[in-house]
Amino acid sequence: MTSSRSSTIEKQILIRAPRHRVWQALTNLEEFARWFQVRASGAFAPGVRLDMVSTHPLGNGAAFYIEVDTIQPETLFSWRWHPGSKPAGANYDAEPYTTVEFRLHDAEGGTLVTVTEWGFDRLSLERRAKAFADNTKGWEIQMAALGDYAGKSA
Amino acid sequence: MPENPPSAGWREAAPVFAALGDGTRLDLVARLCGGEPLSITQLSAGAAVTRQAITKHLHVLEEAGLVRGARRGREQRWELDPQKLDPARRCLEQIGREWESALGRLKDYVER
Repeated sequence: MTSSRSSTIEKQILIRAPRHRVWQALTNLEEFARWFQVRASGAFAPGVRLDMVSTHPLGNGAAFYIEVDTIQPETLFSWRWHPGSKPAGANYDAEPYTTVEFRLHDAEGGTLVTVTEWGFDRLSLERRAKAFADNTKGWEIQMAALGDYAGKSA
Repeated sequence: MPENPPSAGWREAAPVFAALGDGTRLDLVARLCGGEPLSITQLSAGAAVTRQAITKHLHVLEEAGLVRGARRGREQRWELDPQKLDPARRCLEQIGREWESALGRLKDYVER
């Protein structure tokens, strides 16, 4: 686990379906494309880069790619990508990325899906080629404190 | 997805994320969250690094606009500008909302 884990978004949802069904909707590219609202071809596999085009009504047909990281059947699916829209043909390769991770757990009445995205704190650190100090403080705790403060001062 | 945050928002937020991407600086920001301007002496108390290092970190935060120094008598005091955290927070909130709606679409798709 790297220090970039410190700035994290985490969301969960309970889906009333068995785990294998949710896994399929998540990792079969054709099914994925429907709910994620993208156009893409190929198949998810570790290390594979997949080019995608957003079909989201507000996505403006943005082109982007993901790089698949880990696929642990019915348990873990993760990829890396670059947050923020980029002009078509822009070279992302030197840009920092964030990691997206889906985890599935059995839950009462279905499957619990947890999506986590982290790495936002590296967004321009890497660009500046600075060493990344280990941060074990926990971004969320700090953000909560900052949120409290901002709330009070608002 | 991705109904990505506009790149302008990211450009604005990136220096803030970068400035916060360090344990010592995050700790300094947390200490300043109380709202009281603090001196270097107060900010260094109990810190694992030297005063000089703290000063350097404060300058990084200052460059990102997160803190500002004000001289009070002979002593420099530092305070947080919480508004500068807003772009970073807005980006994270927006991405969080996008994930919520993506998960909602996954649920609808699987359960229908």
